[in-house]
Amino acid sequence: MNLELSFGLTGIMNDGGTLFLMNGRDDSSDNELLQQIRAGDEHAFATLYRRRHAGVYRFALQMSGSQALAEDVTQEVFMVLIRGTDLFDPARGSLSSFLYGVARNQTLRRLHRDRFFVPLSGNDDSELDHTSLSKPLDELARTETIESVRKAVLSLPERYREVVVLCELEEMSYAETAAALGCAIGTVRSRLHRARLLLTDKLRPAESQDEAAVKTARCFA
Amino acid sequence: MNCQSFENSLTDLARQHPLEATALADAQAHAGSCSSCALRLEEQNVLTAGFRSLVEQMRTIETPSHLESRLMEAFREGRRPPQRTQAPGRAWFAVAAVAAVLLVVFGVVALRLMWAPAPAPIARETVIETPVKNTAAPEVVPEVRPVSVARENPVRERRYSSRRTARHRVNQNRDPALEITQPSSATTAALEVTSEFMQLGDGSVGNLQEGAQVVRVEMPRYAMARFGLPVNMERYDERVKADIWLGADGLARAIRFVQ
Repeated sequence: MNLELSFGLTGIMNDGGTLFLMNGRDDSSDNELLQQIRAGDEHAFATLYRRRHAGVYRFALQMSGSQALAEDVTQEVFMVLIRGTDLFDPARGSLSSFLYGVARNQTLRRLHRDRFFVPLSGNDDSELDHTSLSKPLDELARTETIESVRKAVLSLPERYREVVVLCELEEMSYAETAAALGCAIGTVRSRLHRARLLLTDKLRPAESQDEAAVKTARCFA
Repeated sequence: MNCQSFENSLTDLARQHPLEATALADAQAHAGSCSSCALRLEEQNVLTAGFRSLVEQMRTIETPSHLESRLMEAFREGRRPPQRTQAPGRAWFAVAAVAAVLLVVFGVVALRLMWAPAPAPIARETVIETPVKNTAAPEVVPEVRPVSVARENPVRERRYSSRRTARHRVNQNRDPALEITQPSSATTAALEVTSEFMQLGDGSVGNLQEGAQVVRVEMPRYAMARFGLPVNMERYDERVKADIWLGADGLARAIRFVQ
């Protein structure tokens, strides 16, 4: 719950009723916040969490399609910071890349662990279903398009999916993505190119796929 | 620009990633002239638009608020992870590793004990009729040390027996050094080169039928010189085997050297 307080202060009250005071424009860098977290500053941790949690959560959600898994992964990523910030080396990349890297490892671990389980309700997809019957048709078509893109991304192999999520959906640069995934920039570029080709194949209407297969023959102009 | 070059820059074109001006112009020109590549670019542009829409939609999704409160609580509780129990797995691994090492050690010890031969008795044999050379010899008998020649180092024997195969063990039993425990064996005499028995002191050699015995001993090599035998002075401090003829009264009567 966000609260506007006097003297230009902003406060955030969590579910436990604890009020965190903020100065309204906390522009400390991630590394400065980390140093404060090392010293046990709770406010610094709260600031860092609010700054970075959304991206981590979205990444896990788009990688897995499961809100429960995304929630667990987000918690585990920030628990890494709580246990100790020694694992993060600023020389190897930004804190954002580090957090995405941890999120990626946690997500893949969970996906591999849970790959033999099938959700009982089978409505995991519906968690993200924002379709509303009251929407106009064009909005409905747009929503369906978004849904088909999301499903197509989810159907990609993991090594392509993570690149698409980071580069396209989290709008990270090639370098940031490479730092998060621990691979070369060229690898990111080639995987993204391959992933986009796979996605266009998946999203192409069924009736035009045979036709497109003929049309994709190379020309020599 | 050909289709291959266009394909290489297709992703950057569709993502509106900054390209060199000349490369961008070439790609656009190629897309204008090649309908196949133009179609591929159009598909990629549609995909990019789909991504943009998905990004907009995902921005409306918020993390559950209870997650933050849970993490803040964990931070306050001395940085302890909530509901995490990973330690037992590592502990079990360590216990299993120690148990495996102990099992291997006990197995090796048991195998060695099982294959170790029984200790051999001290070599002692009944005298066979041997001509005695009656030579003048000093009265003082050199320092002698009764030994069991082949069994002097039982540890080494066990080591051999555990390493070698059964065939080696059979051959080991034929080792001439072990043949002294089998006095009547004809092969013993064939494998050992001995000097003649030389009388010690002034006493008579005695009768072989009176219970005389021959004992295998080791003594310094330089003791051979006292009996007029040639000695290699470079090896004077080495030990040499000898057979001592003991009379029924236990006194040494004669000696012969064994090679």
